[in-house]
Amino acid sequence: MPGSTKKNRRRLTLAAFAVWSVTLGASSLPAAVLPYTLPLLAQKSRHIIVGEVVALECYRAPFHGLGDVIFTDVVIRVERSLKGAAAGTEIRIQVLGGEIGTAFQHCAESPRFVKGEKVLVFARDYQGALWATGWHQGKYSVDRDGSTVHGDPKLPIGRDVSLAAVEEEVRRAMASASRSVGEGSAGPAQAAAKQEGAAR
Amino acid sequence: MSRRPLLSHRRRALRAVAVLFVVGIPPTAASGFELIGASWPDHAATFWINPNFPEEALAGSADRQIELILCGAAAWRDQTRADFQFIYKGTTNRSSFNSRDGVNIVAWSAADGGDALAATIVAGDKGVATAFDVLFFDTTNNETNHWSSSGEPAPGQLDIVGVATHELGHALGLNHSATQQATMFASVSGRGLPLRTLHSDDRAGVESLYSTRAVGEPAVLISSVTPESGPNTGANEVVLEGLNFTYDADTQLLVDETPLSNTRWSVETCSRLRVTSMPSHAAGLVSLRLVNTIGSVTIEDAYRYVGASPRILAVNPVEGPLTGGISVTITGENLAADAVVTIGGQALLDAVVVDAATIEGRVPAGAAEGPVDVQLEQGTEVSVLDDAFTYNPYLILASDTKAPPGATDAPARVRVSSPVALQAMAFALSYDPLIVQATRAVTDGGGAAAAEFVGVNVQNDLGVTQVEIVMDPDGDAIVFPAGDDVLAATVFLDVLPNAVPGTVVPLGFDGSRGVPPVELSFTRETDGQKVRPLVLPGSLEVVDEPSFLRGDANGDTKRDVSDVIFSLDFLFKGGPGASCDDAVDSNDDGQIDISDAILLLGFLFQGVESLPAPYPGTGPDPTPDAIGCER
Repeated sequence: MPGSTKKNRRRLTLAAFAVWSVTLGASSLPAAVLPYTLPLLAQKSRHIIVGEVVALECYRAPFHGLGDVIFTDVVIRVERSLKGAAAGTEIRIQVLGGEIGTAFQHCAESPRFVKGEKVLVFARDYQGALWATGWHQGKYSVDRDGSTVHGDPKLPIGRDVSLAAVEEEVRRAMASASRSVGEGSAGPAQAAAKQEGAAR
Repeated sequence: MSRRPLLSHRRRALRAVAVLFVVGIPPTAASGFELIGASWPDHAATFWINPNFPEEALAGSADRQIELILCGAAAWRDQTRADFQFIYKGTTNRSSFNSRDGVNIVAWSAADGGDALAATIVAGDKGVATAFDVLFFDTTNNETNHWSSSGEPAPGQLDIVGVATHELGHALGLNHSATQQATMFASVSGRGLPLRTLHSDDRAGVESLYSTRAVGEPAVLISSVTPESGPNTGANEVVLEGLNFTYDADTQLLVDETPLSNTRWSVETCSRLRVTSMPSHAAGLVSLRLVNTIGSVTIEDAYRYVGASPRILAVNPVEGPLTGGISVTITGENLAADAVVTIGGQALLDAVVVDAATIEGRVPAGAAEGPVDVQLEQGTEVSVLDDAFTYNPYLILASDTKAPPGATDAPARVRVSSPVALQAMAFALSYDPLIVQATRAVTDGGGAAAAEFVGVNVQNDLGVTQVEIVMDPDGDAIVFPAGDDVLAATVFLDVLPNAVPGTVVPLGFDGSRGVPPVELSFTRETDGQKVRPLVLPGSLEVVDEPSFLRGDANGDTKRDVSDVIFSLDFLFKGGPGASCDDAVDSNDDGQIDISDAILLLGFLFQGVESLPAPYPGTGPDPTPDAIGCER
């Protein structure tokens, strides 16, 4: 039992460190998109999944009153679900920009996907489709073995961290959101994000 | 065995610290910029602006919105050396993405951007950019975005210029940068207006994409100051136009090297700063200096403070010699330190602006006789007194002399300057008859010595001695010579015994005192015309110095052989000394010796015409020496 207690304490310490290491990197806030921290990203997303990009489909279509643009539909086979879509299913993420033949449209705020890439994606509904939450803030590359999420100083996950640490942080964020809803203070994540953005 | 777990713990701890160290330090990249993989082949991109931001109170008028977005575009050229430019083509009413309409726009859109505040799409083919559109969204996740035109954005507001600069960075080919201070950094947390100022990483990005122009380093410039002058009381508005102005908190404005409170000015755009209330300042030119992140610029003499309009009221004296040099006082109003006075087109010599009403100096030499204008230039303002000063080449002046109370025959010499020979002259030496009285006037030893007619009329009751000289009443055979400072006459004056030492008696030429009055005039030999000479008065100063008669060794008020005997007795027979050694010193060489007796004998019997002053009357010794006089 004493050994078990020590092991638990060590696990708690490592978990705390993992959470710290993830949130520490969350000071990066995008320029022209609403800036999110990792907890906000988690709370805003309908799906949080790890999977492989199995297809990229580019096409021209109207952008809901914003003109005709090139979209890319990113098809991801879900391997691990932190929220929403179940493992084994596929989800389709719509991304602004893409390539048709040699013609391209590029939007710096959009995430980039590569076929065959293993990714962690936060996704939400926008204009009748699934979009990466916070645009490029909602997509991360993951090692092939699924152990490490590659962060970026420009993103809410600012550095490489273990997927386990991300999962822990996501769980905490969702639990916090549930408590907030239960306490009648709906949408704290959105309010906080807006305030952060407004402070720019 | 018991130590291994401990070592294992230490190793784990060290490993943890190592991981902590690695992940705990945000990466800093020397070159953090990233490219989108497309660029503009002509190093230029045209664009149109739809100035349709709806909250005019916050976003400004349509014109102001255009100015601000143009600043975002200009930053990429003016704050860098990149060989790239955005070319503004005008306004448009389009407000949606369309990469095939040939119109690149920057516009506000009534759409909801989802998680986006603004977005840019760059389109092209095979890596060549051919189109772009930038949209600022009305709402983000259904919450209104408030787009701000000036000042640090308040919570809930977004700076149009800063976001435009960022989005246009995408439009020219830059992706988000890893450098946190860069405008193109993905995160702008805690940054508002600084987005307007490009970081070296932004500059490196655009210059790597388009190479550089052959221009100097980016600098802040002031190209115009409007208006260029204003009242010295201040409080007026002044607009500076230029290049690379940033924003209030990043800017310091100095007037004459004194920082001006930023409550008195604001940076309106990247090319315009408005001073709403200039400070007060003494009249004159001042420098303006502007300092911001991009650099510093100083414009010397950029702005003129003016009082009320300067004006010349008078010149004193109104006449002077052609050679100049005499002191002159210009009186006027609202005169400033930078006032420049000219007389006949020549600058006043040794000019000093004494106060707002007075300038003193010396008259410059004139080009020709006659009246000339006196002009005052002060900044852009000019005041002229026509024909206010007259150059006169004809002069008559009285000498300065000294004499103690009771002195007799103190000489007041009258000298004349004329560019031409004279036939005649008339003048009246005027003085205070309560202090001095004239005894006579002679023309001996001067230019009028050969005059055939000299009339002298001493009128001590009126304080004047009139002199008329006619060189040759029957022709021009005898003339008074041309030249400077030629002796014309000597008027001998007695100082009354009750005169108070220290009194200065003006010796002028007031011809109106006599009966009948005398008109001061020179008659030119060349044409027989009378001219009025310029008068330079002299003075007689009553001094508290012993008066003696030169050569009067024994003090009996006469010069005769008894003075010679007295001197020789003193020198060779041990006779009594004189009470006034200066009187014994006949030759005024500062020594009493046999030469004094010899000179006196020569004067008395051998035709020596005169002795050193005081001569012929009594007076103080005009030359300093080691001997004195106790009388």
